[in-house]
Amino acid sequence: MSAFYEIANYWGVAILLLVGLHGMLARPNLMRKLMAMNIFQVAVILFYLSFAEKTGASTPVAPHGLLHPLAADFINPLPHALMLTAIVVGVGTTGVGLALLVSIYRRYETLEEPELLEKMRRENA
Amino acid sequence: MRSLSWIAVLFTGVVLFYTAPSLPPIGDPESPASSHVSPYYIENSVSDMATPNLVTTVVTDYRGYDTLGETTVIMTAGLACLLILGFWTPMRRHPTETDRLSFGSPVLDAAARLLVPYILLFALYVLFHGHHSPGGGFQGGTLLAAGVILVRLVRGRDCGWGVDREQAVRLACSGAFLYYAVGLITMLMGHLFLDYSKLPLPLTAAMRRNMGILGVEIGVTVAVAGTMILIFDCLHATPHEDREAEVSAERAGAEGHT
Repeated sequence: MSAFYEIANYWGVAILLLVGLHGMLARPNLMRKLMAMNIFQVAVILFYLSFAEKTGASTPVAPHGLLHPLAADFINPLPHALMLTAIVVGVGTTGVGLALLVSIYRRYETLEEPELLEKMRRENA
Repeated sequence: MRSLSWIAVLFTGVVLFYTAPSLPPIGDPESPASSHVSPYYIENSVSDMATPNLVTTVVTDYRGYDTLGETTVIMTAGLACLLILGFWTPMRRHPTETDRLSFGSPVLDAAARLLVPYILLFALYVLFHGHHSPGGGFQGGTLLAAGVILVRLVRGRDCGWGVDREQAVRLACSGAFLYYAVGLITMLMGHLFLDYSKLPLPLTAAMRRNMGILGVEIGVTVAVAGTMILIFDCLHATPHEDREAEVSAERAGAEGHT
């Protein structure tokens, strides 16, 4: 068990995650859903970067000439590496999402979910 | 529907706030995340591949397969954007007058002219110095694309140094292919896929790995830059109605000729 203040980052992450989740589930606007998905993703990225931290360690770049760095002197590079790729993949998913939204808007001229469903129902009837 | 989503959010919140205290405290060097593979990465990467930036070595060498997959995913995302939007909008050869006038102003123009060379230079620095300082392929690629996209935003979409949508597709695919090619070269030498120490170069094993990382990083840069430009181009291509108007105008012109 950790004390409340020792994991302060995680409370922030939890709040961001809930904001994202709520936005994705409850908002009727598709554009806002996509933005909420990005907030959700930022929460996950912050979570990973938080547990990469080590007290008293520096950035994971070894100084010039140091052949055998000690594990305690540098923060964990693995979550940083994973999140580096995750950010770029996040841009990719956002791009595809935006492309889908653009093509939905061109066809139905709305991004509000109730209106969109109504228009689709009328089209099918 | 509304209340249902509130129930889901509340449930997740309760679970998160109930389980968070059992996580190890932030900054604990003995936490599980920092005590299995990561000490090996930190202690051996400089002697293994002569690369002081530990994040670069983890991304491109220790977890090279992972990054190979990520690069492929990014390329696929760019192509998916093209498939969703691109076929409805033509790849225009001749820009119209509105394309040139739709963006920009003298202030933006002067600022962009000043900024873009430095952005591109910084992108190359971030790529090639990524072995020794924070940076690498993904960051360099995004910066390269940012330079090109800035020019497009300010000068209109016809101005992008010949990097049109077709060119961006070629960039994205050839970057991903470069990554695969480095792996295939080591395979053709009779060794494991992506084992950079077996590259046919007259260097020590550590320096060969260093060069392998550089080749892979260049591939990632090209793929990311191409994909970013491709996504941007697809998203701000001509709207559907304009396309219809264009087609009908072309048809009217063709009928006029016959």
